[in-house]
Amino acid sequence: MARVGIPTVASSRPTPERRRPGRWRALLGNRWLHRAVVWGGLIGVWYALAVWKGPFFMATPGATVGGLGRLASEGYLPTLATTLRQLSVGFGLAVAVGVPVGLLMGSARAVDDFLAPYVNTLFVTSKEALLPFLITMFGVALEFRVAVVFLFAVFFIIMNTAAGVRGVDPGLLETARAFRVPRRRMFTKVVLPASLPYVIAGLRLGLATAIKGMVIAELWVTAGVGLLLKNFGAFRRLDMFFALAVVIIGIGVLSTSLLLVLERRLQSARSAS
Amino acid sequence: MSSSGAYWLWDYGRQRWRVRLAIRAAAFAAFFLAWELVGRSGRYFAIVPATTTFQQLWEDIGLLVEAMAGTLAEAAAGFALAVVVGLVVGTLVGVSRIGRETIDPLITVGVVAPMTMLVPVIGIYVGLAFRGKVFLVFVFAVFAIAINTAAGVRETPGALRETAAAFGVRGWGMYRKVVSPSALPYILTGLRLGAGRAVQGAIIADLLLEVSNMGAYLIRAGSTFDMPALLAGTFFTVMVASTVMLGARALERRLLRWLPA
Repeated sequence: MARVGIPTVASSRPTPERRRPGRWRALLGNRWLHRAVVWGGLIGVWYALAVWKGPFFMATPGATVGGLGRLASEGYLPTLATTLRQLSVGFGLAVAVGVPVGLLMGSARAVDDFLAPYVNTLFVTSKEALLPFLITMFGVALEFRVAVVFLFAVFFIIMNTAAGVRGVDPGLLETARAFRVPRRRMFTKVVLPASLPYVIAGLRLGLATAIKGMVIAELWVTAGVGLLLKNFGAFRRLDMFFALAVVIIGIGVLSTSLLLVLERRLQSARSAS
Repeated sequence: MSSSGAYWLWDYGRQRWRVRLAIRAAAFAAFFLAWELVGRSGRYFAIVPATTTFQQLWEDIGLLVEAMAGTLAEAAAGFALAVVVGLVVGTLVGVSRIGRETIDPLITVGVVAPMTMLVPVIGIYVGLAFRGKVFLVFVFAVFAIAINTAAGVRETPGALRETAAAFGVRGWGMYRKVVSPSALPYILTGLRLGAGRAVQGAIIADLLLEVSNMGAYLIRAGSTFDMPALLAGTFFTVMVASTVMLGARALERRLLRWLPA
């Protein structure tokens, strides 16, 4: 497999040499064809396993798709909507706190030195360990779930925002200083636009962990989507369980990829200007 | 742990270590003082003073170490499994175009997906006891390891491969001598992230699957409203987990010292 191309222009990645491909070659090299084959194969394996073991062990792909419809027709969508509303409250709070704190940490060394030990410690450690404490603090009500989502999301946002501000091109700052641009303008015209892609990256990573936090919190107190997952698992309604899992993963993948697109847009806009 | 970058608004330089040390010390003092005062005020029944918490921590240290050892053992078993599978799958995905096109997106989904979701059905497939826990740790860690390994293998500079090929390195030698050293920083990052996720998975497993080890300590303290024990256990877990991560970080730096800056 270690095919080495003829040295061409200094590119970091070896581009496989492109002989004029014939039509068949082009079709065989199409990545969607590869995906169709491999993903289709995996679904086939899933199907075979489900049929072999029976619906009490695993739902077939078809039953899972049917489960999506039944989630709606049996009236579980409002539960999902409530969960998502709580997620957005917690995440909104995390953004409202995390972005300003990150901006401060990235702007002034004193703030960074002061807060970094706490932010770093809680960033790397398992916030799951805080769950029993949070539940005695907040009870099982809405506040608990909002607090968990907040804690799971906020550190990613702080860290990325701070890194973005610290990483602003020093040349740009020098120029602005040479022209005696006032600090407020420097912040709005130089620092903020340059660190925006990092902020968005923080939001993206934070949102993914926020969804994880939400699932953990709701399983812990057996409410909302957590209650549904537990019930579907306990009563072996695996079609519904798989369907709900697909929906949750889908929400995560969709929202984070939208933010990724936004991040790349901003990055290319920045490098173009 | 501040990076070397300059701070545009206010900076006193990273060399002023006395100032920085003073600020750090002030931060610690402020935290523990606030904890103590809030605890003494009795406004929140869940927060007991820091001194009470540390007394409890000292009394329970044997219990805590034993519970943590059990949790970390699960984390280690699942992590070991995830390392083997993650490195193999990641390498295969990294070297082949088809793997990159087809499996890579699936691994990305696995990184984003909330694996805790599996808790209600894990009993059906692998059981709730040790095996189930190890499995949960495994799925927590494996995707982070695989995706970083794949990225590292893929990003081996073409010029490096070409030079090696010109000197007659090919086949297996190319992977051993050229690709794996160049992918090492990525792989180590993946292992570090995977270790963090493994500890997370083990704590979740001990809390939500069959309750045991650290989970049992925390849940017992919480359900009997034994606040000193609850805070002691939480503090202890956070400290141990962050020490594990700091250790992983230090090990990573150590192993990469030979790299040109």
